[in-house]
Amino acid sequence: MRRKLVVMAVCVAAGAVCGILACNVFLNAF
Amino acid sequence: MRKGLKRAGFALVCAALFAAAGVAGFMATMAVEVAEPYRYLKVDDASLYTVDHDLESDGRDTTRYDLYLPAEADESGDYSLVFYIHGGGFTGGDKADGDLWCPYFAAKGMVAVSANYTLSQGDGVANLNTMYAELVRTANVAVEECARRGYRVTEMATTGGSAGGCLALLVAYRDPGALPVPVRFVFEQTGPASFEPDLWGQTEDAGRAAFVSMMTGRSFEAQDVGTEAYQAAIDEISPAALVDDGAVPTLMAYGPKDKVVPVALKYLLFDALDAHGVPHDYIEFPHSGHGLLGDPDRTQEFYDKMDEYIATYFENGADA
Repeated sequence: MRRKLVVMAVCVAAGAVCGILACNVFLNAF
Repeated sequence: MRKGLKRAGFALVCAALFAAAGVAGFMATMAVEVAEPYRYLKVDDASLYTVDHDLESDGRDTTRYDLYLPAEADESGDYSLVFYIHGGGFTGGDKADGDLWCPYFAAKGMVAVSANYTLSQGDGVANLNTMYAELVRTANVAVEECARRGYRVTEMATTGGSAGGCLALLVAYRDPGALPVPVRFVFEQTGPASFEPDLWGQTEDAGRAAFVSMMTGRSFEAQDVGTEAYQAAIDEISPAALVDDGAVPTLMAYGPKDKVVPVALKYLLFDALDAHGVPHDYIEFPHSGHGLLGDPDRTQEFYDKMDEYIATYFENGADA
C-alpha cells in the first residue's frame, strides 16, 4: 500500500512539473 | 488475471492523477504568469474607486461597458478619462480585462472605461469599421453618463492591447472630432499598425480582396485590388496610415518574438510618427512575444512611461 502511495505521489509531482513546463513553453510561443 | 486487472486499474489511477496534476500545474502557472505584469497596477484599497458593470451604450449586449470612477465626485473638478479596449484578435476577449488596468486610473482620480465591441465572426459583418463606430459611440455615452453622476470629463486617452491596441490607435487618430472630448495621448501594446494584406501573408489578389473585405466590411473582389477605393478602405483601418501632423502622442510596446502580429508592422507606425513629428515612445520587450510576458523590467518601464504621459499630457493632472 505504501509503495502505491509513493507511486501516486510521484505521478502527481511529475504531472504538476510537466504542466508548469508546458505552460511556460506555451507562453513563450505566444 | 485478477492481479493484472488490479495493476491496470492502478495504472489508470496514476495516469489520471498525472493528467489532473498537469492541468492544475498548467492553469496555476498561467494564472500567475499572466497576472504578473499587472502587479504594479494593483490597487490595494478598493475604497478608492467604484465600478459599475454592463452599462448600455447602444442597447445591445455586445457593446456594454464598465465604468470606473474615483470614490467621490468633485463637482467643481474636471476629470480625465482613460478608455480601455480589450484584445482578442477582434474575435474574442472581453471588457473584464479592464479590471487589470482601470482600477489603477480610477484610484488616481481619473475616470476609466472598459468597453466591449461586437466581435468579428470572420464574415465581415462585424469589422474594424463597426468596432470603431461602436467604441466612439460608447466614449460619447460614457462621458454623458459621467456628467450625470457629477464627473465632468474634459479630456481622454485611449489604451488597449493587441486588437485593443489597434482600436485604441484608430479611436485616437481617425476622427478626433467624433469624440466627446479631446484625446491627449494613446498608449498601447502589440496593436497591429496596418492591414496591408501583403504584410499579413496574402500573396494572391483573391486572398487580398477577401482579407480586406473581412476586416473592413466593404466588399472587394480580386479585380478591385489596387484601386483607389480598395486602398482607401485599407488606410481607414490602418493606424499607420491615419497618422498626420495632428496625431496625438503615442506610447507603444512590442515584442520581437511576436508570432501573432507580424513584427514588421510596427515600423510603419514608427515611420509615420517620425515623418509627422508626433511625439512617441517605443518600449521593446526583447525576450517577449505577443503577450509581453518575458521582460518584467520592460513592463515596469512601460508603466513608468505611462505615468509620465499622464502627468505630461493630461491637463487635469492625477493624484500621486
